[in-house]
Amino acid sequence: MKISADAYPTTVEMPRTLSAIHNLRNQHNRIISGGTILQINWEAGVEKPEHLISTEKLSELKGISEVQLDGEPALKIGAAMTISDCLHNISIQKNASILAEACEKIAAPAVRNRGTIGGNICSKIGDTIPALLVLEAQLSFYNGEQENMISLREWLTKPNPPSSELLTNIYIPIHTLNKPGSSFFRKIGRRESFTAAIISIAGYIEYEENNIKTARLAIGGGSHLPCRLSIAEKEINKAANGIDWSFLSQVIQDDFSSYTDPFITVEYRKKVAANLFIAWIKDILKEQGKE
Amino acid sequence: MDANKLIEKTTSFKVNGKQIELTLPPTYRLVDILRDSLSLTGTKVACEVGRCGACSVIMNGKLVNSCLIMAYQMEDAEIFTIESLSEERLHPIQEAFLQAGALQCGYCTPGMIIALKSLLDEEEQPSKEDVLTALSGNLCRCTGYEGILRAVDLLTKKRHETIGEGKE
Repeated sequence: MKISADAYPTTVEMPRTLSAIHNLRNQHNRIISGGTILQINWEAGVEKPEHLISTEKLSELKGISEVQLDGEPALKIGAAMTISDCLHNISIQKNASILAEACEKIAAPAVRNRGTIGGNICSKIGDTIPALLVLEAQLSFYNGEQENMISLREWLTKPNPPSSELLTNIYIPIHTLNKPGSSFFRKIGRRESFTAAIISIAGYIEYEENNIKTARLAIGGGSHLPCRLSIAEKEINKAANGIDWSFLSQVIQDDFSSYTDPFITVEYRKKVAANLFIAWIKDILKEQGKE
Repeated sequence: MDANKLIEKTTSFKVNGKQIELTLPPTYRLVDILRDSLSLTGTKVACEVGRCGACSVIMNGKLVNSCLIMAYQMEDAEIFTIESLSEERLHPIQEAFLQAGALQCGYCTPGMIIALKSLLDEEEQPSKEDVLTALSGNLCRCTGYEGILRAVDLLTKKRHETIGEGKE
């Protein structure tokens, strides 16, 4: 069967090193890793780009290791590592278990074997993002000359990522065992597996002498732009002498911007998020003998 | 865009043990290569967005959706399709499917079987949870999945007996 090349005009480059990338500043390019999200978009009618820069063979984007970042231990995760790689990595399971949990809830094995953590982040709607937000992840981007660091939280507030910047690595500070804390990740959807998220939420709480010292809450999933719930966090952090649960529930619901779609109302999403966060915090306080 | 840019490339890969070389546009999909260029129509095409698993194949030892693999990603890859399972006689997974009545229309069956093969290549005695996870990317709109799970039970019991009798 003769394939019409005219129907497939996109060109691809597969550099082996960052310095070998030719078209990073070409405005008609698109960076592609596993390509699972991009291909879904193309199938839905989004126009294919003229040129693709594949990260698949970039050695700088591979590997998961424990490193020092600003003198502190951190996990370094190459952006081209697949969701499966992250899910099964011992170091991630040990030091960032909620990231492994988030990976486990993404799509199904065949997609996890292709989709990458870098692609999940750069989609800006990936389910790893809430977990990475509460883990205070830092991102490293290559701009054609050098790599620059930016916190995930700050990067998410910027307009759509320019295709002239390439995500190379994700860094997660390792919270050592002398900091007692709890973390959680929950994805809520309308089916049991291969779940499209209604919301995905993550939390991290550090305590000191059984009192909450630091709380970090993040929400994303579905079409939400993931974010930290900073007002709700402040409310929890200042409530050393007990939390007003109904007030906190309202603060959480007011603190994130959600949407209604044909399946789920905005009110439902907000209520579910608030209930899940509060149930988790109450469980922690119970464990600490504070409830 | 440079008009002289080459938009077709000779891609070399293996399918079911056979070395293949084709000149392809880089974004041409594996599912189309298998079905249209190589006439391997056992791999089915359905949702085209990696949601249903009908086009599952094993590439470099891992389960993938062939609708989400492009020609440029297949360079030097080794691919196994449903056709590789029963060149002389039915594969035990296929036998178990027949015995347990694990199919009705049969459209999802090649993908289901490939996904199970991928699991059973890694796990000799998978738990029910392992099986449910392994099949979570494969949709079946006929069987209600019960027949498929019965087939897996049948298969793992047989394997267990074989191991018990020291036949493996």
